[in-house]
Amino acid sequence: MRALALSITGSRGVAIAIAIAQWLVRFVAVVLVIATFNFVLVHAAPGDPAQVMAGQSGSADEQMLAQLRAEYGLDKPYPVQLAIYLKRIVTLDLGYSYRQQRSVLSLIAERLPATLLLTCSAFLLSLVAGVSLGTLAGVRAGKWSDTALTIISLFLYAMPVFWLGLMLVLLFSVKLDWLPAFGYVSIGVPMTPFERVVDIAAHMVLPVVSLGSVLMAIYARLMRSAIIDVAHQDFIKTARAKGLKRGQIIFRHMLRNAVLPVVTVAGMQAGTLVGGSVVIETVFAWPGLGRLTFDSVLQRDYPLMLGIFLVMSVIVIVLNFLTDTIYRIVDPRVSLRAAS
Amino acid sequence: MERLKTFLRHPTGMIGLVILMAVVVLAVLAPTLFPDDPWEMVAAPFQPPASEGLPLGSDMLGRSVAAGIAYGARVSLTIGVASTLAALCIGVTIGAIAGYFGGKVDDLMMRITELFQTIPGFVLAILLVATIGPTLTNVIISIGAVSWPPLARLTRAEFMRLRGREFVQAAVCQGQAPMVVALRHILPNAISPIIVTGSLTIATAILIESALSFMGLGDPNLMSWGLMIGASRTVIRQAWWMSMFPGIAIVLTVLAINLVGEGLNDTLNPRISRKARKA
Amino acid sequence: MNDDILLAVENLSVALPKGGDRGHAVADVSLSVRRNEIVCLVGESGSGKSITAHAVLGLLPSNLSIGGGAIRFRGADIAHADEGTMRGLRGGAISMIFQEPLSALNPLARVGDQIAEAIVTHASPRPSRAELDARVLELIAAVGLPEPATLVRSYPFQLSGGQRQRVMIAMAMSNNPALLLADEPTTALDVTTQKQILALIRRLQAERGMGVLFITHDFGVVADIADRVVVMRGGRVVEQGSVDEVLRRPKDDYTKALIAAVPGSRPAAERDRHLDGEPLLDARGLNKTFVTAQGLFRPHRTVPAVRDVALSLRPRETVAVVGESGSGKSTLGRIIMRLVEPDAGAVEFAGMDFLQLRGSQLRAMRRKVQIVFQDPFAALDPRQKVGDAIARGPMAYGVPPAEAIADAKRLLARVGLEASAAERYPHEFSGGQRQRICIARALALKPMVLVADEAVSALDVSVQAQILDLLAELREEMNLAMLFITHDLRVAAEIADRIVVMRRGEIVEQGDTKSVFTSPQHPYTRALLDAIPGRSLFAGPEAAATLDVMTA
Repeated sequence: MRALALSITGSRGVAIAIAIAQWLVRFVAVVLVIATFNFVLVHAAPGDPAQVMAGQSGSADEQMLAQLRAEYGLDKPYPVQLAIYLKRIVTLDLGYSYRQQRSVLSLIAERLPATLLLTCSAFLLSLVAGVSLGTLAGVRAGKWSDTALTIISLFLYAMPVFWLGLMLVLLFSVKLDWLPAFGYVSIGVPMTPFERVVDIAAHMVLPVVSLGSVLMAIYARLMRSAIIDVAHQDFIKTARAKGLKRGQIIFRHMLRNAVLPVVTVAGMQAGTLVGGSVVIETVFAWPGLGRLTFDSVLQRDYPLMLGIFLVMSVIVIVLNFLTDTIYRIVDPRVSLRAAS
Repeated sequence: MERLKTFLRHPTGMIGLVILMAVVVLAVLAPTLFPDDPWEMVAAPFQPPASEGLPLGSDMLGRSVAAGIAYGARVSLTIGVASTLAALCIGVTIGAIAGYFGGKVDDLMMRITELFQTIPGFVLAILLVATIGPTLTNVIISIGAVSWPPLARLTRAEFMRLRGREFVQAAVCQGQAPMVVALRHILPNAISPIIVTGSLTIATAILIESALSFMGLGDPNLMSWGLMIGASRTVIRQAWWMSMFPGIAIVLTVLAINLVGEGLNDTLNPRISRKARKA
Repeated sequence: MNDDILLAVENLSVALPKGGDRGHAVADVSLSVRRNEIVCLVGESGSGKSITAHAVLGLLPSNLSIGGGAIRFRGADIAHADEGTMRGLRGGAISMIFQEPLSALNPLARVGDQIAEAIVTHASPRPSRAELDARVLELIAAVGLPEPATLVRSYPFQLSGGQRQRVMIAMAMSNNPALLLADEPTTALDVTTQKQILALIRRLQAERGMGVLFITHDFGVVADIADRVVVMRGGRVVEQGSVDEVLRRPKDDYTKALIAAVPGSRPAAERDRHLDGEPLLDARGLNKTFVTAQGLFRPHRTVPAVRDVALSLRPRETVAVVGESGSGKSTLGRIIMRLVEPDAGAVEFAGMDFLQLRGSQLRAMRRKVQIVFQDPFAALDPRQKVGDAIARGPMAYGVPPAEAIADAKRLLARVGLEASAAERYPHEFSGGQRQRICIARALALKPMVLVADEAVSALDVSVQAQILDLLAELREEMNLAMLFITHDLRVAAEIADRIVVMRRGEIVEQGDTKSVFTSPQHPYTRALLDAIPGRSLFAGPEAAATLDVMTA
């Protein structure tokens, strides 16, 4: 009983501190491993590493290559090279894009906000819509609305995001002319700040919907089956035996329990979301990291590609941390168990 | 046999199987149906669907969209299946070792798997293909390399679950050798969820392949659905059919595989029997 | 008198969905519960006892519905009452508690909130926060939970099984129900906890003059708590009457058989089995602590499962290891099977240290010690034919397949199954039959020691008695020494020559069965004996003597 008292009163804070520390360790580990992986990739690529970093164009002159070799210690043994490379990463030096004649970090920093706006909106949309639609289908399992939702999500789940994006453009921009198809904001039109926000929002609709729909389909299916599972559990019978109404049972007892597996999967799907942003930004000419990826791949701009890869992995870890936190808020057992 | 019958009675599973068979037949018969090279100009460019000899129209270079779809089916199915096999090899091995031995081995293997799950798979695939070059084999390797973690986790979970099960312990007590226990008792009982997830992995692999080709990272010598969409997206205002039909092909194929996977899930892992046990 | 009748079930039928093995889950059931009495509804699994209780509150699973008959509560038929009426009754005038208290509580909500919810649902106007809190604390104290102020803020996973069931009871009591439906509320609990919960239910019932419909499979519990008994079988009532009538002078053959099958109620077998000789198996200084890593920065969780245990087993002897959950009895069995490696200790077996053996030597010795597990559903590979499962063992030691299969068929016949069972798969058999298969599998290797790990605990009493008889016969035929692990002292009394009592990983007492029952030395053993349900009616092998001790 004393253990019980302790675990309830004191140590939730400790548990949260431990969780953050754990996450930081994971964060550093992932960054280091990906940096190492990048390093290996540069050396695995056909051709001289210096050439690879310069952009494999053949246009790089000898003087520049020599400078690169010196900078990255390319004449030294591999461990030393790796150490130099990791040190640069840790000090946020992601290299220089010779194609764009700018530092990789500044290129990424410029594009990051647009990507974050896109991915986070899509993430939120997919979670909120997925959970609500899934709940609706789950509590109406077997009815026509459930069947309709199941069919829609089956199709969405089978769609390549880029094609869904194109089809939405075809319908809403080309045929109906309701929404802008490309870009982030209308160019060359004088706007008040408010108009500008509305304009950006209008530009966001199609990319966010295309990117979010596929994930929404996944979450909706998951939520539906979780709701059906929870409905069969004993504590729902207890809730009925208390005399609660159906709605009260759904909102107070089923939702919270059913949303847990969805949150877990949302964390695991963060990578899919970021990967999807690459093609979606390409389709919608959205000026974010994804577009930058496309361009860097076309131009075989390695320093830029590797830098983007690193930053995108970091975004995934951050999203993971967010879903983890949501999980902890919903399920008190995690942190209380850890603390006891 | 019993299972086969159950599957044949599974309505959506059967719909999936029929669509999938149609795609397979299309892929196999592509050279017979469209004797001309799919890269060859066969008509005037920008011909809409249902034009003379062009059921689905022609593209910007006067190539038949229908022929492209037929040949693209070969590429999609090949890459889907081959990269899933690659992913299965990696995933099942890692998962089985981690799950059977447990302890430190398991810890290490799972840390690696988690790491791979943190990395955005599609971006990694782009990077890999861009580095080692866009050939058919390299695309298969790259997709395989990003698709294995879920299979590894699943295999591990199944092995761990079964290792503690009493019938496995009974086999150990009977004096059967560890290898025999793993192969005769654990693997057969773990195989059906792995088959189900494997079938869904094929679908995901086809989607990744299409996205890679869309980005221009497919094998440039092979006609593929993603490539067709990627090449024609800039002319979507004038010629919707060039992007729409290959996309429909992708959706139908992936949908069919997912439906078959669900059918397999219902037949191979009958939950009903578990519920019956409880009652 | 009739005014006293709270609940009257009249000719109730509940239809099963088509395709089942019978048409009705419950057919033509009539019973009644008066104010201030406890009616026990007894039966084996599948008897329809739980369905009957669920039907009263309209909580049947969605594929079942009431086919005919009436359920009168205070005279009004509620069998077909609308959802609104039923909601008013549920948790109000009629409340219910369930078997598994962990899964019956919402894992994500604080227990205080869950109790408060039960109050608020039926209170109008809604009580103030302070009133509500006071009422919750009062209920928690009423069911005997410690530290009410802390407890309200805790989550179900932080409580023990008994505490959770008390929370369930507090919730059920929150609106002073007239009728309590208790669906096997103590089945998932340890005996000592069961005793406390039974006492609590009895006390609350008496204080409040409640009617209680108590569902159980255990005649011992019936003897302890019931005023009246209703016996069900296959969905029908076979007998009902006062507890004395039914338990002491049963009229129906099935009831007689059920009562006779209750372990400990049968005439004691001849106890002196002339056991002598050097120990066959001698375990010393066994220790095992389970350590679970919890990731970086967190201390490992350590659970000492077995602490400094010594145990010996003579040829042909049956030793029962008795303990409640968490006593380490199963871990001990698994250490002896080499399924769990201990941290320290030795098991001397047939002249060598069994724990030191490796590789082929270990395999050679393994066949000498075999095990029968608790859950006969999990213990057979669903993809392996029964004959194969039995024959694989001998085959692993070089017996030619044809011979091994022939042997397997002989064994199947010996354990009471058809030889043709060898060609079938496990799912075609019932629980009792599967347990027979498991016994045949273990005996195929002609072991010297058989470990039975709760081997009869998952079975209905009548099946349980058959399996115990079978084991008793086989140990004589095959000169087996048995280590019989069980939580049930009554079962131990039926079969064991010697009893070892374990608690929290340690042996607290051991001795021959008779002396453990008649003159227990350790207080814990006494508590265990005291907690055996139904001691007034059924006692151990030395009933008279034990009762004397108890009353002394």
